[in-house]
Amino acid sequence: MELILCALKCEANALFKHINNPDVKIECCGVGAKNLKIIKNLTAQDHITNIGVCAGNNIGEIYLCNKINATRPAYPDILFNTYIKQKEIKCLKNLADKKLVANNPDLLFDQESEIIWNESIKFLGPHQISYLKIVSDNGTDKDTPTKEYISKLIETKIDDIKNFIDTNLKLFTNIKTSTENKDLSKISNALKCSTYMENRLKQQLKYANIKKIKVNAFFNKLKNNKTIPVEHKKDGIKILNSLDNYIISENDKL
Amino acid sequence: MIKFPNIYIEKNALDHSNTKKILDYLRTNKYTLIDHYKDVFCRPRQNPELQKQNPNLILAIKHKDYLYPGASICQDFGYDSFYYSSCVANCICNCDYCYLKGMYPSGHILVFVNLEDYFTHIGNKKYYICVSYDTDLFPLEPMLGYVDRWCAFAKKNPNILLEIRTKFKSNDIWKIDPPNNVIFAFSLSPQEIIAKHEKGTSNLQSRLSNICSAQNAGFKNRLCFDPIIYTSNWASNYSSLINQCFNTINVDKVEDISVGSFRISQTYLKNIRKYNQTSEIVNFPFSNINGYYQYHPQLQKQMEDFVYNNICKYFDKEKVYLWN
Repeated sequence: MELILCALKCEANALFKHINNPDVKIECCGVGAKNLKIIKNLTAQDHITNIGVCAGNNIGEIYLCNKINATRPAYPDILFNTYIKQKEIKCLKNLADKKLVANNPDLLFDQESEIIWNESIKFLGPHQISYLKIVSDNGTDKDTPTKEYISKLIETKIDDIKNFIDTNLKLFTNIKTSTENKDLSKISNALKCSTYMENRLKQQLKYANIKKIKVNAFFNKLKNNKTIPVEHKKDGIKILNSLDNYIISENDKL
Repeated sequence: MIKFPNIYIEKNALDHSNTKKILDYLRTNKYTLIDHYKDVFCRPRQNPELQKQNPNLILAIKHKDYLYPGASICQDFGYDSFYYSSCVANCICNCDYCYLKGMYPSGHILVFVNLEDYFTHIGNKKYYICVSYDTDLFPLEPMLGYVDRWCAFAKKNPNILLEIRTKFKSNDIWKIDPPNNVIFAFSLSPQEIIAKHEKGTSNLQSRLSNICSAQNAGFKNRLCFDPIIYTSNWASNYSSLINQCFNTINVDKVEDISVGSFRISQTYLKNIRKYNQTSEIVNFPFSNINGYYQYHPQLQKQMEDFVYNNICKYFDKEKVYLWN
């Protein structure tokens, strides 16, 4: 799943209008990323993209953040070539003022990036977090951008955003996981497996599954002639050794 | 030309002449400045498998550990002072079984730009040094020129013996004057294994023609049937490979041959399996022998004997090295 995190509702609303994909979820985390409960349910196959406006130079430009400028800098992975320009971002407690932006032309400023990173990186990897930021202003001494302005600004970059999200989804769909054999614990008990033996069995079953080798026939035969369940662990070891040979012989037939 | 999604440069590597050359080659001035390469390379919970699909480039300075002692599961070819050097960590190609994916926390390519410091440290000692264990320098040669520089270093320091190993075809490397004390080692696998499990490497035909080019230009060469990988039709695959190889290359010009079945440290394999749960190569139920995963002794012997005996039909067995 691709989780798009926006700080503001007007940012999220602009995306809702254009992104309609069951694998993409759009959530609001509030200014200062106060609500990040959702990220705790993410797995190794999921990815977060924080999309929103920020202060900086070049109003209207979209940037992919390559560094979070903090006491301990953070580096979100960038895992595919994109024409979106890259820039460093700094997270502030308050809105950036014009002087700060003018004095730091190579920086973007927001109020969420570092908080999202710090919360996510506790259990996600750096390849699972990205930041797409659109410059809405050069710093705000008086007026903050309106909701309508922000929504429209996001919509002007919707093609860039959709391309980025689609590429990310493709990349993460390629992560293939294997499912554990449902009979593992039953077989393990029948063989009186120690932890070491169970890990060995697990690997044998996993390989058999990858190679589409049916191990049921092997165990059914042992069950029918009452070889399993075994009485002693050492008999279980012998069966694991035979299973190795069985897998090789079946594989050689493929 | 290789296109990296992002380039990281260590602050103290920024002004190094080699950094400038690399950026010129890549025709870019865009990079992310970092304090230390470990800030990126050693981040926790990275996914090397995913990163390998489109690796980033990290340019850094190496300050120590220019040489490491060769591991016991690696071939030393009878040399006592056997070391390896890591001037580049990680490889542009993506072999399913590559131990680098289990050894390093990252799949990004880390280049140490200060190769001259390696040379100063190593000097003219009587060492056998493998300089491309942790990478394949050939595909990076247009960008780095490290093969050329290692060869020039070897020429000036006749006591050392270098091994440069590759799975890539190169046209330019064979244009240099061949040094006597550098052995180019060519890894060979059946085409089926290359196509399925050695993504991004040169195909078998190109590898064999590469060996011929090296031989014709007078470079010392070694053949590596290592690692031998088990598949359902391994025997016919390796039989064809050996026949094709010795019918193509000039056997009289081969220095020696190494033979070994796949083996890997248990820690590395555990890491690789974490991110690659569907590869039949790394998910084979290996035997754990003294902390190293290997094929079951019977299968291992069967495979190594088969390859060894087939090679010995063409080549002097005294010069065929088995890893164990």
